[in-house]
Amino acid sequence: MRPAVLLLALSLPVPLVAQQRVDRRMAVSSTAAIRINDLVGMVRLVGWDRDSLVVVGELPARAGQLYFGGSRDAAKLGLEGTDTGSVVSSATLEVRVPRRARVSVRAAMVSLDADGLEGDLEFITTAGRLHLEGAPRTVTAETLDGNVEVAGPVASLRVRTAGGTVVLRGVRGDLAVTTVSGAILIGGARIARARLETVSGEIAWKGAIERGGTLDALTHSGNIELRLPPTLGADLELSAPAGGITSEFALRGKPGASGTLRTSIGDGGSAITARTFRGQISLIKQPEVDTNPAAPGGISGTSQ
Amino acid sequence: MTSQRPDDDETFLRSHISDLPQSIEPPRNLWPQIEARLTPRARSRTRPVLLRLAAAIALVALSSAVTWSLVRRSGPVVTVATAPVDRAQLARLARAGDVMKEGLGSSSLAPETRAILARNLVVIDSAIAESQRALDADPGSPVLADLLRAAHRQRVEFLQQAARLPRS
Repeated sequence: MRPAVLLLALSLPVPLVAQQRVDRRMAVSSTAAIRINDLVGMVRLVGWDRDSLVVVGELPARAGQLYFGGSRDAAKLGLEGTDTGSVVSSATLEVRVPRRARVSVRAAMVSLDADGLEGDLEFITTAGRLHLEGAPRTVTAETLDGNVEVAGPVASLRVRTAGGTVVLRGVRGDLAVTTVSGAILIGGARIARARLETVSGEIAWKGAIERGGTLDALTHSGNIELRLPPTLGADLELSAPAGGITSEFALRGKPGASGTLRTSIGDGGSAITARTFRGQISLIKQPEVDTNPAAPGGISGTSQ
Repeated sequence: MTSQRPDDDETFLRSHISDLPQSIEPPRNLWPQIEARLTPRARSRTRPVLLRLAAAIALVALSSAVTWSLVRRSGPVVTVATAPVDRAQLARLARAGDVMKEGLGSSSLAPETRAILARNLVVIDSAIAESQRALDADPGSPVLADLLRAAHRQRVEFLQQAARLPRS
């Protein structure tokens, strides 16, 4: 009977790796600088109304050990001893920080969902992804191969990725996005200054530009689609030497010998530059894009 | 790219996301060269820690120097220049990119990261090559010079981003 019992025992499902429970807390100031290093798996970063830093969740043994500490004004947490030879995707951590904290997240590969933040967020990773909702004061996100999605009226946003897709909704203020092959897709925006650059990705923009503001879109081989308010006043500089330009706006003039069309729509006031070597530039009237800077923000704040 | 007018932002964004390719195959003709130049030379496993540290410090210093040089010589990067072709500036940008790449080649990047770098450098170098060919055919075009300058700058900035990555 023993072999049968042994066989039965072996056939029963058992956890492949032991999970360790994490629950660490400390008091920090409301604007503390918090560094989060080398986390893996899924991480939820939440800004809350308490002046304390909390980390809870589950870590498999392969994820290593959590270190956690610092002072009221500067705290640090992260993992050490992680088995880098395998992908640790089963780790799940929730990190709670004061809303106005200045948070820096650095890791090779982590999936970060963040919300409730009102301070500064820096996210630098090799192949991680970022999904952010809310309105931090500044956001800097750099990832080589991950997607970046931001929804909310972030005042200053810098995103850089190589192959990842960038999706932004309801952004405000000052914006700079750079990719190599990833698409740049922006909806419901109202900006003072935007610089969008990619090498082979497409650029799709739907939003308004403040009077006196600038929108600069550059791609080598992708298309550029700009959906703009019909009443927008802007000075345009459009270049598509090996592509073409189509417009629902009445454009006066033709491209010069240099291949650039310089013209205006409405009464001018904003500056739009679009350049693509091989792609198409399309200007499309988008009536529901609100041009009133005083209108409520948010993802759907520009739709009527 | 669709030209139909979507109902809301979500539909607009989703319609574009669904159109995106699942993967992008780089042109084959450039790949062997890039790969060969990125693959680190065989070296001892017992490479001194101090040497690695020195390489990291040198890379950071190099990145800072290149940034300073670009800012000083090129002006603000958001400037839309349609100035006459400045071949000396193009050469400086190309050289800066090559130096950065050389520096990364001797750093401690993970193999997966190197693969990502190589894949994206192929895309950028293809754009540079295509812009260069177009400029050679029309040497007086400020637009083509502008696009070529932008591609070189994107290459340098991409390599600077790689230099800032967390080391595994």
